[in-house]
Amino acid sequence: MLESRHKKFSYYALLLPALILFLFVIVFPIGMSGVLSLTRWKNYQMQGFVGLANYGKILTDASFLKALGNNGQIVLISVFGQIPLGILLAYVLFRKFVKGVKFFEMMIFLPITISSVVVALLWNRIFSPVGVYTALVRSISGNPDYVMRISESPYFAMIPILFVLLWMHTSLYMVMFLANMQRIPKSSLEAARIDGAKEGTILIKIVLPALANVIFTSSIFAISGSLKSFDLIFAMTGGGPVDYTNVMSIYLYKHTFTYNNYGYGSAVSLIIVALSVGLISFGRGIYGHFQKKFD
Amino acid sequence: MLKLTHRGAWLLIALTVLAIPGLFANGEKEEESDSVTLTTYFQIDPANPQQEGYVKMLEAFEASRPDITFEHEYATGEAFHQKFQAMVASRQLPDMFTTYVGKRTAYVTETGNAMDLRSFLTDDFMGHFSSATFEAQGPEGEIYTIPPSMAVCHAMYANTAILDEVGLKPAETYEELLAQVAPLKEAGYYTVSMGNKDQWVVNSWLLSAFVERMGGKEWFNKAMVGDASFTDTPFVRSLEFVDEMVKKGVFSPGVNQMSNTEADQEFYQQKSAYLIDAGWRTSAMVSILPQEQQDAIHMMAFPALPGEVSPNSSAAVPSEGFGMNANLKGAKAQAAFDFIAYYTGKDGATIRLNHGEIPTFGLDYSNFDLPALQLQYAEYSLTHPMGYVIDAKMDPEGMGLLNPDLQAMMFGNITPEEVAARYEAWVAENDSNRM
Amino acid sequence: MKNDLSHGIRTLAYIFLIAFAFITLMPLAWMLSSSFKLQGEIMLHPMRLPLEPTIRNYMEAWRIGNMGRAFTNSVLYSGIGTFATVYLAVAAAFALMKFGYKNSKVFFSIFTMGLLITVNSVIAPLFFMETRIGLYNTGAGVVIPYIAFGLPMAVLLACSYVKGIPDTLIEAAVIDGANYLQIFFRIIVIVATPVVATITILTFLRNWNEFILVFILTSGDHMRSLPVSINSFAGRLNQDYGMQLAALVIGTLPMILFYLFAHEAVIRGFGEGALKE
Repeated sequence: MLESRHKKFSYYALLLPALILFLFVIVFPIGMSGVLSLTRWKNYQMQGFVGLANYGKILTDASFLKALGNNGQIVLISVFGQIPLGILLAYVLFRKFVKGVKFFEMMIFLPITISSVVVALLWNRIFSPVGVYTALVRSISGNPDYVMRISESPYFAMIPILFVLLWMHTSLYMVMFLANMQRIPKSSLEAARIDGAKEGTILIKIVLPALANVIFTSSIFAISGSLKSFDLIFAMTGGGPVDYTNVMSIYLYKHTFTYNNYGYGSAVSLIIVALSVGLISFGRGIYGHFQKKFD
Repeated sequence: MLKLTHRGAWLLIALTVLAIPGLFANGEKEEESDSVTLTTYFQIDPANPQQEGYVKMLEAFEASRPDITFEHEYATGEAFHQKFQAMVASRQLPDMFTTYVGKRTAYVTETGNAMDLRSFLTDDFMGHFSSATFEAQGPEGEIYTIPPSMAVCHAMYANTAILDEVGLKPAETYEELLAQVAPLKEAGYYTVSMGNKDQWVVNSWLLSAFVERMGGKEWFNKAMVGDASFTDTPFVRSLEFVDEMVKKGVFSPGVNQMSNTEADQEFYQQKSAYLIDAGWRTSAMVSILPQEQQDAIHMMAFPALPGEVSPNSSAAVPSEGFGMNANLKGAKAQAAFDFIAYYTGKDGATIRLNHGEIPTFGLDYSNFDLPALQLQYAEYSLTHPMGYVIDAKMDPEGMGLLNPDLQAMMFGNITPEEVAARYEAWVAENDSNRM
Repeated sequence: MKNDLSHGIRTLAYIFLIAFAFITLMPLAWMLSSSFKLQGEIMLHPMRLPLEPTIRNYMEAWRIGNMGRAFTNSVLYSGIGTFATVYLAVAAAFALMKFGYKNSKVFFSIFTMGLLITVNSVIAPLFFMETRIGLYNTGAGVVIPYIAFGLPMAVLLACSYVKGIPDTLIEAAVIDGANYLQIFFRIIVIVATPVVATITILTFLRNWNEFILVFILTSGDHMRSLPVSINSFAGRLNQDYGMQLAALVIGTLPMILFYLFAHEAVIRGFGEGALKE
């Protein structure tokens, strides 16, 4: 009995400091957002409660749906681009297919250390109409009117951003995968090789199953990061041209801080949270399904 | 995953916190001593070459008034406004802050947080300033800030060296400008550089001037309140000109991917014959370009448009200046106003003029040794009638609709009529000018 | 390790990795080289190496941006915030993973939810609260949100590691008469060193580049961090590329150096620490 009371005390002594800070800074303000999301603002004053009207308006606003679609593309590139590429890169380095593993490892990790604002600034200096890349293509092709038309397309304007995101974030996953590959017992790899297994087979049959849990956790990071991505896109395009590269968090930012519609903005942020929870639960379901298969 | 079983409780607590700001009235601390400390929150941009003028002005003021000490805080751009709004929302405003004459800081001026300066202003003081300086800033004629200068938001810079080389003269009519595109392209030059990546550029630097040309202030005043519509000819024709300019290749390629600074860069690198930008860009040109290149730059307003009613006009807005907290009293209020008066008045204006600003305070320019380009700017701002800048007059949220639509129009995805109709529909429904 | 990989694939791997290294290094090299040029030279000749290299941008940026102070603040905010995050996360992970209480699952989910929250959606209420309780414009007012926003990822990583610590280790200590807090400080903290390294590095990087919290929750030059100071050079209507790039180099270089030195620990930490079953 004494032991159990002591145990309970220790439990809360260890847990509560973190929990209280977390509730204070994150959960509590989100609760306030929940209340605010039911209100209407006009001329910087709260006008009163409007029920779920904000939510209805957001979900039928074409420019929100456009932003949602763009976030969808980011989720796709994160889960099906960054993670597989991360695995491949890690595998190449792990199996030492190339010389200079240390150097390349560093090159791939480097983007993590640079802030998105720097990244955006530097990439803009390359791809803008007065940028290096543009100048290069103009002089090679002899067409002085060349610009990256893809950035002006309602359908493909996200591609340059997706490319930069791929470059920036693959690193983190690569490091995670590489580190965990190094934990796979050498003996099982050797055994496979002696049996004459090809590299592809080793990757699929031995390495991937060993990484299943890491891959799942990485997907959680990838999904949550994708749905709230802001810094890079805000600094790179601000959501433009038109709203072709707009994302939910920029939409949220504009409505909250440019149009001063706090209620509407709060509703947007709760929608983002709800979407993330949904997607991650979905991912968890799929993962559980696969896990059963592996067992 | 997460069970928010206590949601009800959370809502209750959240509501309580929301109510707190109402419970705590702003407790004013009364200063007893002779010296006064003023806290400020100013929009100051250290990357601006004119910023040196502010620094020098501040040094001079502090030397002349040792009884006043400042606690400054500076920010710039979007971030400035984001924080300012948080300050307003929680009533944590400093004694002095930057306010705009237009809508941009309505969250502070229209919420009763900024002091009306009229009780401080004497006719004698006001008489020194250019006539547009003291236009009403609120519905009752309130003056929240003294604009330190006029921000001329439309100017066209011609590189006469390039034009000479191709055998052309700065275009005097719109048709002439269109006709110059082909020979310039032949000679390897773009016609006009303008960077609309940040979306407000076409609106502020070009469309505002076109609307003034086609309709004049008279029409705009009506459109604002609903006696005229943004689907009327002046607005639609203005949009059509922008549209036509894009279609006829007047702008250098990628106009909507280029930032304003990048457009400047293209012009500075002598790749284009004209630049459309703000009037105050002259100070950057003076500090960056070789003298020979500066001498070749001719500053002008956009060429004459067919059917214009307000010829030769441009667009300008009184610059943002310093305002005062509505709660300031006594010595503190006087000290704050003294600073504003110094900054905008003779002493401050003299210092600022020497650093590239064209102050609203009247000065005899012949007493100054100004670079030729700065003199061109001073003359430009005096000789051209100035119309409104649209985004200073209309609600920001409407700009959030109009500006992207302008880009969509320039890509050829929607027509000028559609842009006008969509904007008018929004304004009719939501804009505070129509309420 | 030898392998029978075809030349084609090997070459492909080289091309890809070299391209990756190239797009990582070139922009950084451009940033470094341009930071020694004045605005005019950057505008007129963006690609040329500096003709007359100058450190004026650095001097000006350092002075105008008050970057010495900002540097100290950045180190303090990031350092203290990171230390506290790591400690709290490992403590919470021990409690959640090894005590076997039913409510642990709920608390764990609550922390995971934190991954989904953007700073922008809580910044206004947070500002509100901090001004009410006097935390606004204090070091604690910055560090506390740093900790809270660092916790979700840190708790997740720490939990997956602590979960893998054999229960027998803890049971043995209990039999020896140690209480749970002693077990935490004498065993868990030691055993968890690898994951501590990983969390430290990730949290520190994140804190170092953080902008919006410091910007909104403090006022005045003396409270700024490096990103806030750097941001002041990116004006809306004017951009002085020279000063901006110099400021960026000042902000970025420490992290690159940090990585160069901590590189081994990063990889090792991930290997032994992160994301175990």
